[in-house]
Amino acid sequence: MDTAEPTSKPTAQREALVSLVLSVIAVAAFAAVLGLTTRFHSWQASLAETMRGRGERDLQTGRAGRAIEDFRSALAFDRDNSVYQFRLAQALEAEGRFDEAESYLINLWERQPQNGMVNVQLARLAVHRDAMSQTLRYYHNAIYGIWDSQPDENRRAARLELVEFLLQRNARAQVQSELIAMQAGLPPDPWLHLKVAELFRKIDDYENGFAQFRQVLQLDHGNVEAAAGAGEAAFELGRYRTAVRYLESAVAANRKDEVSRNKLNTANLVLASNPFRPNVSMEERKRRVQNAFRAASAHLNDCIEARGESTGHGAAENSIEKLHNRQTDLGPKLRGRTFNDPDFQESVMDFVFEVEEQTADCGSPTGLDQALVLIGRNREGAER
Amino acid sequence: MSAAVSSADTPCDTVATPRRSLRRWPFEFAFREERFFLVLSVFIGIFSALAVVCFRLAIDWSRLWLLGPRLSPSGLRVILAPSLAGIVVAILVLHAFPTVRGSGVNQTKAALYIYNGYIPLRTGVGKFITSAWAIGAGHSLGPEDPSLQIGASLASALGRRLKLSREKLRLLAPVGAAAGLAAAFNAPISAVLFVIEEVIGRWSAGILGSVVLSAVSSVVVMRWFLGSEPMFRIPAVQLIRPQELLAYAALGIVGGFAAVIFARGIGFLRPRLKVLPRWTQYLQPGIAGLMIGLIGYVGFPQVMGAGYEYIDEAMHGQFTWKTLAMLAALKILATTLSFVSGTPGGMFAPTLFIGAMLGGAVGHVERIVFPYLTGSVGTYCLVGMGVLFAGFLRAPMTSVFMVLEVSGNYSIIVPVIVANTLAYVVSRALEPTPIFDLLTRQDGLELPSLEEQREETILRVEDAMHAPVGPVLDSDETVEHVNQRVQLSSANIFLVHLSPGGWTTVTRDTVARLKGEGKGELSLGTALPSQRLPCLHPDLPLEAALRHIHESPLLPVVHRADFGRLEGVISQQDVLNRYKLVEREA
Repeated sequence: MDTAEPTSKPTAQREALVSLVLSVIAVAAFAAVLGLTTRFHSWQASLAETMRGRGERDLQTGRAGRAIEDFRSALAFDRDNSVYQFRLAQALEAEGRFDEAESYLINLWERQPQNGMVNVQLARLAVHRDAMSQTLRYYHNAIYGIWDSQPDENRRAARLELVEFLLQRNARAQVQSELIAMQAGLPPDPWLHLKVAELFRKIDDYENGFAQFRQVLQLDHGNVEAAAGAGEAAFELGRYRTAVRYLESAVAANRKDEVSRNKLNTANLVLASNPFRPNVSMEERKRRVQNAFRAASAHLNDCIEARGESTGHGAAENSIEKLHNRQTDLGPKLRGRTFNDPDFQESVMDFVFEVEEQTADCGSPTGLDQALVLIGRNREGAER
Repeated sequence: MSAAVSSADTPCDTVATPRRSLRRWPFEFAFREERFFLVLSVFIGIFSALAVVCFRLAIDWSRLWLLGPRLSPSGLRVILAPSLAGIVVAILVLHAFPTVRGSGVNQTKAALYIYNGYIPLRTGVGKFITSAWAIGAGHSLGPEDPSLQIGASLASALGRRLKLSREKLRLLAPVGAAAGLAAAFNAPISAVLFVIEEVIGRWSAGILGSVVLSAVSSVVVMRWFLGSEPMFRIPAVQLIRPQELLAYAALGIVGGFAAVIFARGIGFLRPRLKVLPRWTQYLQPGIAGLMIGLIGYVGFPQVMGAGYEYIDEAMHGQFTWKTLAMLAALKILATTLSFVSGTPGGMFAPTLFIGAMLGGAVGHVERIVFPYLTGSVGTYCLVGMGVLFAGFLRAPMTSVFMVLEVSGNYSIIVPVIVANTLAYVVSRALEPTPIFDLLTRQDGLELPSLEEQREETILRVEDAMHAPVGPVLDSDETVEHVNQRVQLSSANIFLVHLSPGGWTTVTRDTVARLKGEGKGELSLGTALPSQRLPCLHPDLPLEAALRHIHESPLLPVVHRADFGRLEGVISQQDVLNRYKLVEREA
């Protein structure tokens, strides 16, 4: 190997000249390499997008394993691309590789803790792990987080997911608070209001459910589901007149809706059997009280008969016996003058309601018995 | 080389530690060259970084062209690409670029110590082409060591073009090496330390400024093109319980053993393959490529190429401990095959890969056995990288700073130091010769090694000095009185304490001669010629005494805070006797 021999001594002028020449060469080389890297990186970016496109197609067609490979390949070209990382995490999750998916998502989360998409995805993984507190935290992060596009829609979707999760855990109070928070910001979209109304109905919050069903009907008058829902909610709230109105339109629009039809019949029966309705004549009231007494007596006798020999000496048997004694006592009075006395009518109806309540365990009440139970539970509300 | 400093106020000439000589050129001229050398270091950094950026692009381009854009290439490509690329590389190495075999670290070191800093530009070009081709095709090698050599060859070529002095030309190679490595590694401190530990092989303050400047300028340019993100996305790292250091210590021990296996594999196979007939050298890289391709084909394509993306995945818990352990073992095999076959490429990246996988595997297992451990798998991967670096490359300081630079987290420093130290100790105990020194010796060269220097016993003046044999005379004493005292002693030479300060010597014959000349009533200081001896201090290196021992048969060793206080004396024979004793002990 040759060795170089020093031949030149530096001088100030030579140093300046050399520095200048080196600077020019450096600038030229810099520009050349910049051009090269720009072209190369754009090529890599296009390859990455191609791989990502393949990944998206694979993910859509359920080939999560191939999608993982595609997204990983895309990431090899652009390792900090959060979209690729997120899609890879989704593919890993779809493939059941939850730990790996979570690892990518946690990385993304550390960089963007307010990212709505990432938080939703992490929440889904937490749901899978049945980690309640983490699920709530990530869903709430998503609900109040930042979304690149359609923030309102995505936040609502995240909250709906959270509600579904809470429903599965039967956390009704939390569901109710989430739904109340959600209904305040709902846009005039019948589908959304219907969805929320249905969820309210699931947790037996008929008051808010009824309001949402009505919202739907205001936006979409012909919405049969909303009519049925509003009818059912009004029925459950004891507002039978209102229920009849909505249920009639629901049944008229969908004759196969047996549930609404049964509720409609019951509501009509309640309205037709309630002796406490205002504007009911004295004779009509007496007739209704008599009908109610007969129905209750029959139900009581059936119940006594059904119990038959199995009758013991418990408290329930004692109360049934007492009711039977009262029935025996009241029966003759219904034909006398005493029956015109409103207080007596009131006491007869008290007996009726008590019978229907006490005999509930002899079989579910149907027809007039069911109507009487409902009237007894909500004497005033039935008129609404 | 003399660096004696004297002034009117100094009681005696003090001897400083060795400094670079300025005698050859006038001081001002030398200063100007020093300054220009620093400017040149910045340019070397820029040019090296640009070359390394192109080198990285070339590797990526080769990979895309040979293996395709998919991370897991098709089976046929996995087998054919490294095999065929190996054959092409072999032809290029044997016919066009015969000096590009190996990693490049030793070649750069040889240029510094043997060839006066001369590295042909052709070597850099050849390294660029063959390494890019081999790594891109999937050979289990890394781009860092070739980057180091590319930087060094560029620097050497520039120095020759500018007709720098031989001394400066020699120093340019490590400056370029630091720039190349810093650009490849995106870690300037580690690059500087590695060049000092492995290329220069000794601490040299003279070159440190240039090396740092070139490394920093190189990293700045590299980040301009390839971004400032660290090489790995490091997960959150923290040490919660000090007891967990035991877990990292275990990793250090395992890493030390793995490093020894790796080093012995290379040390055993390399010379055996080298002595095979020349025609086999055309096939060796191809066969190595074929075997690596087969490893990839059976389900471990991660071992192909540098593998940084998989280190990243391991850090983020993407592999089970069994996969991690398997990858570590297969990477050792694959890298050994690639390297011993003579395929150009570096060992940095494979070392980090093996360390990360091993660390991850050990961490996983430890977390299974001791579930209370809080360190994440990523933390163990990170520490594992440092462990293998310390154990295999035997660059302990670089290994610590490398982990810190790569992680950007100083809270991990204690586990890193503990694990790296243990790995280094285990590796050194089982394999005394570091891998780079082993390769150098296999190539028939003997180059200085910092590790050997660390083991060398440093002899100091205090190791050779002794108490004066005869009386210590005072310059205020009369010649007559001195003569009487001298007569009572068996010694021939005596130390004289000058007034007001300083030391000199006088012989028995001189005293007798002065008395004979009738100067018996004169003080000894007046009668003697005014010559002060240099003063030594007990803590000075023994070689410092050698530089001055010719000025007098006896030199005084004085206290640093009180130059009048004599600690001992030293003669040429004392120094030689001490060196002989060390030789006998060795």
